[in-house]
Amino acid sequence: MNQVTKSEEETDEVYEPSAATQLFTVWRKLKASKLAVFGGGIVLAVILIAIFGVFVTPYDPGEMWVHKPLSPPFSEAILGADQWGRDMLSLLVLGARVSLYVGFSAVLLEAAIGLTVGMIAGYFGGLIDEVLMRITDVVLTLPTLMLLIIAVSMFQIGGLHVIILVSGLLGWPFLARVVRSEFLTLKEATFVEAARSVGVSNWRIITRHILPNAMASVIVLLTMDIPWYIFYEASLTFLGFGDPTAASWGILMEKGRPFLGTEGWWIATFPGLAILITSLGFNLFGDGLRDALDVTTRAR
Amino acid sequence: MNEPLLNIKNLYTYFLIPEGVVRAVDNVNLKIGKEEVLGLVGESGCGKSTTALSIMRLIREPGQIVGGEVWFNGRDLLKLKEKQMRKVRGAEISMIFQNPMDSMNPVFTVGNQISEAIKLHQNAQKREIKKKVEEILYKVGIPNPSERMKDYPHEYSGGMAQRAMIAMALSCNPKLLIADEPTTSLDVTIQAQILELMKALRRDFGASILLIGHDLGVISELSDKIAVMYAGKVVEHANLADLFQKPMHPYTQALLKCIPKLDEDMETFHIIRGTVPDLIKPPTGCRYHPRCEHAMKICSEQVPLLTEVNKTHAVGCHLYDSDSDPNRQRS
Repeated sequence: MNQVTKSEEETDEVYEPSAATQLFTVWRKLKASKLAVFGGGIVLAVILIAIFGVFVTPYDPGEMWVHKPLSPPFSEAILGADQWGRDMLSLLVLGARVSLYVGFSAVLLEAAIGLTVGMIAGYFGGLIDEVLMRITDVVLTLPTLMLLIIAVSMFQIGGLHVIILVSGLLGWPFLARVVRSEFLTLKEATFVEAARSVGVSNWRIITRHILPNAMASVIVLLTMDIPWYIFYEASLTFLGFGDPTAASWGILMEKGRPFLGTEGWWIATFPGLAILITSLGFNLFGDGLRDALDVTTRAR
Repeated sequence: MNEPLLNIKNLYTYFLIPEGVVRAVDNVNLKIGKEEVLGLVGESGCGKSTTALSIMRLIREPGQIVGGEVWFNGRDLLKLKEKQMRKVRGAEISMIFQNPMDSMNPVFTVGNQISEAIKLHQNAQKREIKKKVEEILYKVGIPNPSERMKDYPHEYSGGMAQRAMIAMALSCNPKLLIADEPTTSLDVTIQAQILELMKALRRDFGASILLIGHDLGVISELSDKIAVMYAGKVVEHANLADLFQKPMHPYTQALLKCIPKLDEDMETFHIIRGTVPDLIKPPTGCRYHPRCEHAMKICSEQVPLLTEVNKTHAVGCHLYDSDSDPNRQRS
């Protein structure tokens, strides 16, 4: 014991790797996978564009007649202009902001509901589990797109937020099931019993002992769900039920639809590509994250 | 003897499953004195671990403590509220488990987990806690504890992990340590080390130990007294020496025969024929009688009571019934 006190360093919390160290470990492992880095790069780029892009775009995305209407890509404007002569590049940049806003907000809502339901159902089991899972089944059977259309038609204002709210409220059942199944397995683990045997409370076991073990699959699932919400918003908007005041990628596609086969193919194609690339990025990143978050695998 | 530290009186723990009621612990009485080590021995499925978990009140659905009292340090643990019980767990009674690698949370460092136990029960500054964690890891023989505490459980070997678990269990100076097969999953050389460690710590910490195991040889290394359990009941209870010199219950005798001896030229190992009975429908009378070499007529009819032969030795077997009844001829 005395030998130990000699080597005692005068720093706190060395026994607990700081959040930074843990992040670094995840980063090291993430870096080892080329696809994950590629996906992560796309995600990061899209996020940066969404936040800062509007400050550096060459034109005001809302301003018409800055180019000749329907000028093709690589002519007057890099990515061409739409039917009103607005700059496509500037529109896409603004669209990134709207579409990511939809994706992230809806996923936060999904996480809040899905985690709560899954944790309670999985940990406590019994009647609570039964009731919650039946509710989950019911929500899972609801036709999302139809309900979205109904909801958007019912509320005339705030269309974008109605879309976020409804798709988030309908999107949690799968997450809840995953979390529940993780909790069902993990609550039987010896380390949970060991935690209980040193006097840890239920709440602390749920949040501090089981949840971190389930977090890997949760984060992966949520990452991969973000593009889904972007899809929902885009499809809805493409069908004409979108929020005309929000310049999302979906709106751009909808406005470009009449020109698809004719003189303005790029108007709908570029926002489509943007959605495609973004969702690819999130999926690759999520996949890499799954491996990186597992503490038992080492970085190569 | 003065007041024992732990006194289990008529404990019944049943599992209520669709197939019926599993009488895993059926009227068990045990006492552990201060600084005493009680070995609890029996085959798998005899209710040893259930007894341990009942003391900690960690029995989960569909299990249920149906009756009895668990007196610990002047309180009946079964009457405590869950919140009070949480203060007992870890601080006054702590537990180590069979598989150390599974007993630690894979996503937290070893130091973090031990410090959690200390944080829960003691008011201490972060620096003090860190120092305590280091000290206790050093005591259980983890080399270079200030570095190793930053490791994750999977970076430990089985023996090291069990040492760390022991450190965690002892971190709040509990009065009673329940060790549920602490060496079963370790290989033999490590087993010996862990037993040595527990012997040394027993002197240092002065805690009582309930040592659970199926191997009489291992259990006898550490125990002062031994209770032998069979099918949810204690069948024999004696001082270590007594038990080895004159085992009385046929099951104890059989268990003792099962320990391989170096000085004997053995062709085969001794085994006890049959298996532990289904505890939903345990055999009538003495639960051991279907496997017993000395089974008599009465054995299938009457449950033998655990009766004291002398002050330190009790046995529950009709062979030692004092009154001679003509029915009790050996069959």
